[in-house]
Amino acid sequence: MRSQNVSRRKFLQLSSLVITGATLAACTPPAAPQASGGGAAAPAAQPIEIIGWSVNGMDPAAAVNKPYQDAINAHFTAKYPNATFKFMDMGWDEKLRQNLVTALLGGTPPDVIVGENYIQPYAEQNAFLPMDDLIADIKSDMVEGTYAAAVTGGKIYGISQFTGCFGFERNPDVIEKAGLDPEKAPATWSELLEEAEKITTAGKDQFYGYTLQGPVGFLIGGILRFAVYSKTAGADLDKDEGKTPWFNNPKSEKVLTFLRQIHKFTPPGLSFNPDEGQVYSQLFKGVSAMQICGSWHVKWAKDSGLQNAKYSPVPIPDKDGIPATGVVGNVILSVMSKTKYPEESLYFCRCFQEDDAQDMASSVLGRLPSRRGALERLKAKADEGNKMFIDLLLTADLGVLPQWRKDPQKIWAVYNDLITKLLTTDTGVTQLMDEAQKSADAVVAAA
Amino acid sequence: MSTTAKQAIIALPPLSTHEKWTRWRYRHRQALEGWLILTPILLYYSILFIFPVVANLYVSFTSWTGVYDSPKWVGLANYRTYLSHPYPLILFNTTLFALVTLIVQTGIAFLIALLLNEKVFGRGVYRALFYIPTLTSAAIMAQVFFAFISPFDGIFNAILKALGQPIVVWTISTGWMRFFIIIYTIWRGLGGPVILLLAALQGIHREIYEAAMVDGARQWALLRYITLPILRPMLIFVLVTGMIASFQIFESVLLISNGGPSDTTNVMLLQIYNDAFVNVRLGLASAGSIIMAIVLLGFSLTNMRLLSRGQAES
Amino acid sequence: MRKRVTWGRIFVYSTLIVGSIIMAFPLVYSLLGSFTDLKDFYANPWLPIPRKLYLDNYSVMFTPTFSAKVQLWQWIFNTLIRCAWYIAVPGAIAVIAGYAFTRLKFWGRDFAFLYLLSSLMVPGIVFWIPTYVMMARFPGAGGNTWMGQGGHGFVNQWPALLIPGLVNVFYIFMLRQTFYSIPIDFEEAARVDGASTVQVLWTVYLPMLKPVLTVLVIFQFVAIWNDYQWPLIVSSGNPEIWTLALGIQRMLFVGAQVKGLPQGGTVQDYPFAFAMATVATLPLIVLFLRLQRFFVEGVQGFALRG
Repeated sequence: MRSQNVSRRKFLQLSSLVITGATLAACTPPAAPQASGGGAAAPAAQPIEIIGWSVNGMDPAAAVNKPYQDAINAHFTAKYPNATFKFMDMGWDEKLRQNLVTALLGGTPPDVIVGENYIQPYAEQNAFLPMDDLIADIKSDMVEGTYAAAVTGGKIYGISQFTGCFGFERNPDVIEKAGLDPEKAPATWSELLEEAEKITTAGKDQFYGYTLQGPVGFLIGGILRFAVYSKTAGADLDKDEGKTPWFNNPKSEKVLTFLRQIHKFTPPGLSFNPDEGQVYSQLFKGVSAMQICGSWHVKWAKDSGLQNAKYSPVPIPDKDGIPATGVVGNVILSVMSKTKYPEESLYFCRCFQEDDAQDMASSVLGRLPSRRGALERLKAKADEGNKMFIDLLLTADLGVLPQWRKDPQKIWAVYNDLITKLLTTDTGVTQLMDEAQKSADAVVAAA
Repeated sequence: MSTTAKQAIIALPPLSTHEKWTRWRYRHRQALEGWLILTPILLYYSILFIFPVVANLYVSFTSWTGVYDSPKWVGLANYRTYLSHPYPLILFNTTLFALVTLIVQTGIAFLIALLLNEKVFGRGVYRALFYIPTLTSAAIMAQVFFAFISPFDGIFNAILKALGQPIVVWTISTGWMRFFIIIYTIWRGLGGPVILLLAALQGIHREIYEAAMVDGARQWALLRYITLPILRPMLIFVLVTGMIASFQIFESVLLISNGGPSDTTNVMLLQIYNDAFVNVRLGLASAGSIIMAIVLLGFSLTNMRLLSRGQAES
Repeated sequence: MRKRVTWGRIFVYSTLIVGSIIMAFPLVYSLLGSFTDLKDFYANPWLPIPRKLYLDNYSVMFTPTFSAKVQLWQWIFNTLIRCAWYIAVPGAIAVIAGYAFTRLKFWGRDFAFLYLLSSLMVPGIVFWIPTYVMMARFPGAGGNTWMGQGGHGFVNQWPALLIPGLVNVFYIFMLRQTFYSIPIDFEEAARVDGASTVQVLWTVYLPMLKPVLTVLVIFQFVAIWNDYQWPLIVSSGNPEIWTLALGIQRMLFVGAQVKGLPQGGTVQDYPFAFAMATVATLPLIVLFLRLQRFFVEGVQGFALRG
């Protein structure tokens, strides 16, 4: 039914013609200098502009990030002296996607865009350019998990600007108060459960063993952390690269059972608090002893007044556990396929992989680099906490959330539902899993 | 035009073309002016309002992600999707929120307006206090409500704790979340109706009441037979515009519950937004907005008919 | 006349006072919150009580780091321009159309009115994408060819913030109702004196429409001041033309950044957000308090006839 599309496009064009002709001709100002260039592809001498949406650290208004911006621009103009980069703040998550959908329909997409959780479905519709050739020489040095969210059909459609991962965080003061050894990190789920129980009992409603963030409202934080535990148990949430939800994966049973148990040691009401920042800061305040945390917690804990927080790998199932974690705060750059300057745009993305840019991801932006070389360099001078996270990135199995191809919002709603029921009812775990699978199947079938 | 002028025209010899044109223009002055005024307005309106609606109607019969594909004709499939879970629940929630909000809000506003219409000290202060919430930023005020309903240390649970009661996890309770959304919506929307109804009440002349009281009418009778009928046009206005607004509840849900738990607070506009921009199903989103428009039209017509029938009776 | 204390009066005052407290509480909460630092803010779940007056949330708004990122004055200026434009043009159109729909009799008039009225039932979300496409493909604008292809049209430019929404059916409806309530004799008297339609509108009707136009001004001012969704869609890429509502929403949480507090993941500076919101709302509240009296008169003007 291609013809209908064409006629609709024509319809849009014609209607816009009518607007000018009929009512608003006088409003039309002389054609302004264009942002994304126009007409024929520019010859080398003609100045061109690459537009990037919400590219992290590249907002010229954020003066603190200037060294980072200078480094990127220097690399870019070294190869393309006629090209400049223009930053546009188009928001995050839903706002960014709203802007992208609208711009695609209006024919005004950017050249470069930031993405994380929607690259695969868009790439399958040819929205992005593959980058395999671009990074062929440095691919072995890039941490695979950092671009995993941009791989589909065997091709890479985006590369990570900087990254982060999940680890396990403890407040030693609280653990000590419960009479336990603050130096010894729980390595398995049963150790964790045992410790959390002891702390909660000792706490007598003053402090608790664990902070579990439940699924509430639109927070994805809870899901990301459940996925970490799933990864350590090898319990995938999806089949065939995110195309089909697999909520009744037999391996998930022990994960969910574990979540239900550990939830008992979370401060009452905290797991369903919609204010994420408040949920995690309870550990810093000594209300909770342990939690899963992102790599930025090292700095956050210190800034919040907890100087001696301990960091360790995420506890794994007692048997068949896989040392694993998930990437978080991982920012991926992709190039839109309809860009007028594919060569320049692709090269621009690569500039972030240069050594100095990678080093500044940490020194300027306060995040972790996504290349092994840069991680090794950083590790040499990092403190205890950061070292742990760097090691995880270098060695652990890194998971990413599945990107549902059909109705992602509804499928995540089904999963949220599953976890909510898991944590608030006594219904059997397998029964809940089967119900969730049925609902998810229905969503996929209807789409 | 006086009679003499008309006679003068009749008496004149055959008219020149110019004079004919002048006379024609005079006779059709109203139509000429009317269409001169309306043509640009209707043209503008057709392009910026009607065209999107027609385009929307077309897209609602297609399947389209809008990424780099073309709309595929799927007939009524999108509308059929509205018959399956969770859409009937979403339609129910939307109607529930709209009706409860509308009725409770108008009721409270009417009561407050009646009270403020008495000779009360500091009327301007109350009036301002009731109206200011309307002016505030929805996002920020939702944040404040967040803080109130936090199951961990929110104000409501603090009260329960102080009373020695077990805490309630509001955020996973359908009933409570619906309640909070309605309360928040009413809180932000109460000012308008209060000020409109109060202004209308203040416009009623004292003498009318005094005359009735001389006749021995009771307070209730005054309200029933004098205040309400005089207030009817304003009530219709408040109800119709209020209904259109309350069916489009979106921000408060997005900011407070995001539709949860389990879609039990999800509303049409939020789902249309999600279908369009997250699920990238433009056809389904378009079908949703068409359904929404039909529902609104239906309710508006019923509303107006009910109210005008009441008018005929009294 | 001395007033006696009666049960009735006790009921009146207690309802009003309790009601006002409930209405004001969230406002007081956010206002007090804007004077606390993060620690004090989370210290008391009932009400954020500043233990010491903390003015940083406001004073950072005058620092260079803040103004580099947040062009507060520019955004206020942009918003005021939009307010003026969207009061003047739709207001004038509503007056003229309201006149045509009541005072002029011609074929097709009532049908045209119904045609306009139909849009009130359509949810606003329907217009977002098509209007954006029209702005982006506007022929001849922003590098577009005469077929509307090639460039970016009015996206991220002023015209996109000024073209849509000039015909406001709600106000046309409001003005039409008001015209019906004005006796036609005034116009006829002026016509006898040879006044043209323009003169009639200007000298006869405009003074009489003052109350209803006050209502229009306030409604529209509040609506445009808070208009967020359309500027977000069409001007996100150009902070120079952002409106206050969009800018503030985007910058609600830059507090941590400009104050040099911990950056990263999830910590959000709500007290600062409250301060930003206070700054954004204050002009509206002042405007309302100043115009309150006229507003009420204006509402009365059209309330009893509407």
